[in-house]
Amino acid sequence: MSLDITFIILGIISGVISGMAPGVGMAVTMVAAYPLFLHLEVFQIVQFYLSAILVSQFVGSIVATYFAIPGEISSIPATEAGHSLFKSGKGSQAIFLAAYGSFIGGIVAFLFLWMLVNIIPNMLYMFTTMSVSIILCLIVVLLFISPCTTRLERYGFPVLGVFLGAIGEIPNDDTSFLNFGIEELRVGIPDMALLLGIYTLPLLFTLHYGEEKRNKDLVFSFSETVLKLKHTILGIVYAIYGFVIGFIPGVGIAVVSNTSYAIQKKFSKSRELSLLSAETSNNSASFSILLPLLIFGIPTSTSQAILYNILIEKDFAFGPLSFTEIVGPILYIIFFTSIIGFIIACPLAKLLSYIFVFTERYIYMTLAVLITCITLYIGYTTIDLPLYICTLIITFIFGYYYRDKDILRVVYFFIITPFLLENLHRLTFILNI
Amino acid sequence: MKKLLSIIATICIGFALPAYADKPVLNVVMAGSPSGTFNSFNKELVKDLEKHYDITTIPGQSELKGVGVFNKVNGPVYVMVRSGMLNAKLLIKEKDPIITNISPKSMVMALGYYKTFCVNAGESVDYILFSNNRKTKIGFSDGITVSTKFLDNLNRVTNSKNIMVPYKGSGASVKGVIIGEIMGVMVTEAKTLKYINKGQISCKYSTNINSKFAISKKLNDNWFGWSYGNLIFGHTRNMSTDESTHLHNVITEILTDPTTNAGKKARKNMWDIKLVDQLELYLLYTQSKVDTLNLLK
Repeated sequence: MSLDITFIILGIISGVISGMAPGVGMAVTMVAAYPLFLHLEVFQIVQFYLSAILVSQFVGSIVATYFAIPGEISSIPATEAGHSLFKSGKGSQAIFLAAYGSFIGGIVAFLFLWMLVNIIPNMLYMFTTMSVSIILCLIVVLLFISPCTTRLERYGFPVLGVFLGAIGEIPNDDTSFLNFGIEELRVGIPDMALLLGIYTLPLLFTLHYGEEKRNKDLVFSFSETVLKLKHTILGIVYAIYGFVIGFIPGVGIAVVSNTSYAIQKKFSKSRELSLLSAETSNNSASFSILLPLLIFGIPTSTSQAILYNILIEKDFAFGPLSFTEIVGPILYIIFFTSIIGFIIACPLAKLLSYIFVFTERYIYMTLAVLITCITLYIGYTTIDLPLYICTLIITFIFGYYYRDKDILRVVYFFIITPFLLENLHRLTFILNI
Repeated sequence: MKKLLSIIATICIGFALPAYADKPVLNVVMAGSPSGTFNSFNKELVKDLEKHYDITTIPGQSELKGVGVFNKVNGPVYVMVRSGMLNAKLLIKEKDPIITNISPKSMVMALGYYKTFCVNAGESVDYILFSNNRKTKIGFSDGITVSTKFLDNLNRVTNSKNIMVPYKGSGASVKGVIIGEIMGVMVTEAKTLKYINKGQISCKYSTNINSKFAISKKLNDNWFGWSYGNLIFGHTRNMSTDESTHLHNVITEILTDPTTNAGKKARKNMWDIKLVDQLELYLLYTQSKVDTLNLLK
């Protein structure tokens, strides 16, 4: 894999947008960039994704601190501790510590990966149908038992996702399955139209019509910041914690961030240290959480599932051998984005926040219109426009109706199902059942 | 950056500008996964065809999807697909053929490719796959029905109880051998080179009857499937007889020349280029369909 700075910069820009605009997380970013990905090489997509997710973790703390809005669940600690520091006149220190913690997290992730480079190729032998099937099933069970407010979200959404994902080609075969005699469904429901209709558009509409007035009295000055040795030591400790816990499939950045925050609060009442612990751990975890995908081909979040889907379409052979080929540039990207992320989330935080305040009302609708046009264009070029339009309308009605529910559960199961079925199907042959 | 700008420009002007050129228009459906062997060959063929045609490429994503697109395109269109095998598979399942109205005038190209048996480097193909009374897991990536037939016959000849393990693609099946999940694999010849060069697998015996190590000779069995060749065909729609013949001539000329992009690629893929007229192409298609039907019986 060779480095392509264009796609790293594009990833950084996307990461800034996804981190700054509340609700526009990596899943939306991936859906928005999907049409672009169709034309890119695997290494360009990986570079884009990595840069975006790492930078979004840096930037998420800015809006959390200044405006008390968590861009993602992982930013809730920054909202609590960071914003209360801001209100008590320590806004500069909160912004600085969040950015510094994220920087430490990035550097620790870089060092961990660098040490793992020689061990990873040996992991190839763990990459069997059996182990992948077991891990996938565990993730599915974890998702089923994770807290949900309604039974519909807990059981109904995953079942719907599995059903939608099963439509199309038979696993490990080249004939169609469950297409109800509809020729257009021979290879399944178009991913892009479904993701846009069921999740992205309802979310962008909700965000657009729910906009609030933002505080424009923002502060940041380096002269008001203090860095002590304990900040660095604590940062390293929580970065290691984040990296290790994030590597466990199914855990997620939100869990890492919120548990670090809770642990640190038990040891000390300092809001600064609590903020630092959460921001450091979520940044190192934002990389280690990618390792199960890149090494074993197991997506553990919705944005990863979208990335997985794209890379599989590009015939990327997930596994340690492929990972070894891309690990060099990945190390570079982690290091590079950690520095850029710090600059964006610290000295540029105030400027970005002003830009966000003045452009927020246009961001969501612009994104919605742009992504819809591009999706329909793809449908048009693949001579599948009627199917795209039907999918978009039906899924939008569903997604908008259930906009207050965790609709990402449908999306995750929709994307993971073909992969899960393929592995389970093969496993029945391997076990000679 | 140039690539990005060209993508954006293509998306922006795609709707607006009518195609205008002196050369005849031809839509080419890329019926294969974006980074797969078929698509990489099609990309090379398009480079060569652009000297003769005003080409518009249409992404097909997979063979099935690509043929669906091919059937819907208005205007002259070309697609490369394993139509004989796919139509036969559907016929067995009493389903509609994937590609219809096939006639000599709609056939413009045929390429053959063969399969080979591979095992982990250092192991013996003869011992693992062809010795008697074995219970070995063998990987295939041609779909369940075709693979089961091959294995049933291998088990019959070697008096074994080998187990078929299906994979979605050749790359995944070879990886299965490398990690020891399966002991052997039957895989497309072109897909093996990379792994042989890395010293990860050893391969021997081919479905190519002309090969020094033909499976049919090794097994000394008269089941016709041991020399079953996979055939890929180039089909056209919405073209007059003259237009179709012209395209056939152009493609034949391109493939005959080993220095053209597609000519080089076909040879690198170890594909068997069928330099025959359109009637014979149609006969090859019919033969491929009948062979697959016989294979699946």
